[in-house]
Amino acid sequence: MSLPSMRLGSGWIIGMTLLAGCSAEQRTLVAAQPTSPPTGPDDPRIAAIKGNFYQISQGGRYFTWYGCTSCHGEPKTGWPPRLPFVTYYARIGHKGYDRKIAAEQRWQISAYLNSLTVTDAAKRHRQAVDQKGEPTAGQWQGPL
Amino acid sequence: MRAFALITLLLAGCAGQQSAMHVAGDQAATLISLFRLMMWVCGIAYLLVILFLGWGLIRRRSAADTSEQPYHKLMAGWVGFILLGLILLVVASFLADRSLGQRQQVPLQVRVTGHQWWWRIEYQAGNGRWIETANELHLPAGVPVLLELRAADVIHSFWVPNLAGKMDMIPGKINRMTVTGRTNGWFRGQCAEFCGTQHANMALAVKVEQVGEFDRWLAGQARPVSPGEGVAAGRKVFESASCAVCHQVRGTEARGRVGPDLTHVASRRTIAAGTAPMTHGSLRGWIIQPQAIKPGTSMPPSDLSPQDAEAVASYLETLR
Ligand code: HEC
Ligand code: HEC
Ligand SMILES: [Cu+2]
Repeated sequence: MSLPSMRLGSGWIIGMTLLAGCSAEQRTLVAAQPTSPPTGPDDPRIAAIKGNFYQISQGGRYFTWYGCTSCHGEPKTGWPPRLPFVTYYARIGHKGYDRKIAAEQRWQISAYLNSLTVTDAAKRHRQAVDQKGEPTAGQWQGPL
Repeated sequence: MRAFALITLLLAGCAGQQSAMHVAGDQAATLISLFRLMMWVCGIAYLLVILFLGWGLIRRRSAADTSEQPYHKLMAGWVGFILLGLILLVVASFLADRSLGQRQQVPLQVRVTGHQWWWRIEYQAGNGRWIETANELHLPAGVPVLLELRAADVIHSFWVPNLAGKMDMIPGKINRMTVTGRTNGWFRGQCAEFCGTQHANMALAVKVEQVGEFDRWLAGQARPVSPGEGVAAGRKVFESASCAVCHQVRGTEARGRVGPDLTHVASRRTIAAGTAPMTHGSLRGWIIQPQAIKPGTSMPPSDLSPQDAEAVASYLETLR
């Protein structure tokens, strides 16, 4: 093998390795998402959902859809307070929501609330804009 | 072989429902005549090329013949044909585009909003009011209708090939197009821009009907509900469980605007944007576990008991 073609070959391998790194996030589409509450702070599903951007952004959507903003306003720095995941999960059950939000969505909203405490407004900007165009419980002004 | 014959037969059964070749509206008619013109011009050019090629293969050039003269005229004719053909196509497509883009005064305006993965449809009812429905677009025959195309989340594309060409629905932007239905009947539209996992199950049922019939339908959609007998239990579950957070049933306590308006849900032919037929069974299945029917849909599963789900399905069935 000549030198240039070897270079080309190793470049190709590096490129493919980098691309393989991009396909890390798994998404389950059947009804195999968590359907029971977290069993405790060490539930392995907690770490998995906290690091999954799709689940977090779905959580943000449902936060808007279920009308959480009508009392808590747009997510801002300082709200929600930093709480353990299981506490978020439990607190979402307030105001009768325990009968209204299915387990899977409670997981997702908890992951979203958790993400609010570890990212700043600049980083969330894109998702905040997306959510502004979505319906809020009984309100729908049309997309932005 | 038999499977092939069967598939061909089945496909023939679909013919016309969603096809740009079966014209049912003015805009599609403009497009199909442009298409025919292009077929003719390009078909003739193709035929000529093949003829010349065949002639060149068959003909033997005699050794004595060295002049290129006889072909000059032929070449000039060929260049002229291409030039004229292209000019014809450019002018024709310019004219077709201009006529499609023309904004005339229209008597009826409809907002169509793309959501992942369904269509919100609102008819203008005068005095600033809008009549909301979903996944089913009715059009009065012979009347130009202005569609305001919008998107709530990602890019979708509005496409009812029997009536008109595609137009994208882009978040933050309103695209407008006029459609005029001519042939009465049901047609199928489909989101034509990949918009997520259930993009394929984002169909739109379109009905072109006589003006009188359309007016009756619209008046029916504008009415708040009149639930039938013996469904009070289902209605109570619907309003106290999660459903009312996301769905509206005008005239009741359910006021959610997140999902499709269910005021006249049972008057539609299908549920969840063409995913399942409107039957008691699919309604009940959908209520208990929508993810089993349309995996990935943003409607969450409910933890209703089978009896409650049955009652809610019976209630929804009376919403005609
Ligand atoms: C009717 C008004 C109302 C709505 C709607 C509402 N909340 Fe609350 N929420 C409150 C109040 C008041 C508190 C603080 C007192 C309490 O715990 O009851 C609170 C507390 C919380 C807390 C604990 C942290 C804190 O600020 O004390 C979380 C987490 C929370 N809410 C999440 C949600 C989510 C998620 C939704 C939407 C599903 C939601 N809330 C909808 C009124 C509301
Ligand atoms: C978080 C919001 C949410 C909740 C809660 C919810 N839905 Fe839905 N629903 C949706 C969305 C979004 C769709 C459109 C789904 C699609 O087509 O992909 C939908 C679709 C439907 C449809 C089909 C409508 C049509 O026109 O095709 C029916 C029927 C329905 N929901 C009934 C219910 C019932 C009954 C409940 C309560 C058990 C409920 N929904 C709870 C969001 C919700
Ligand atoms: Cu779409």
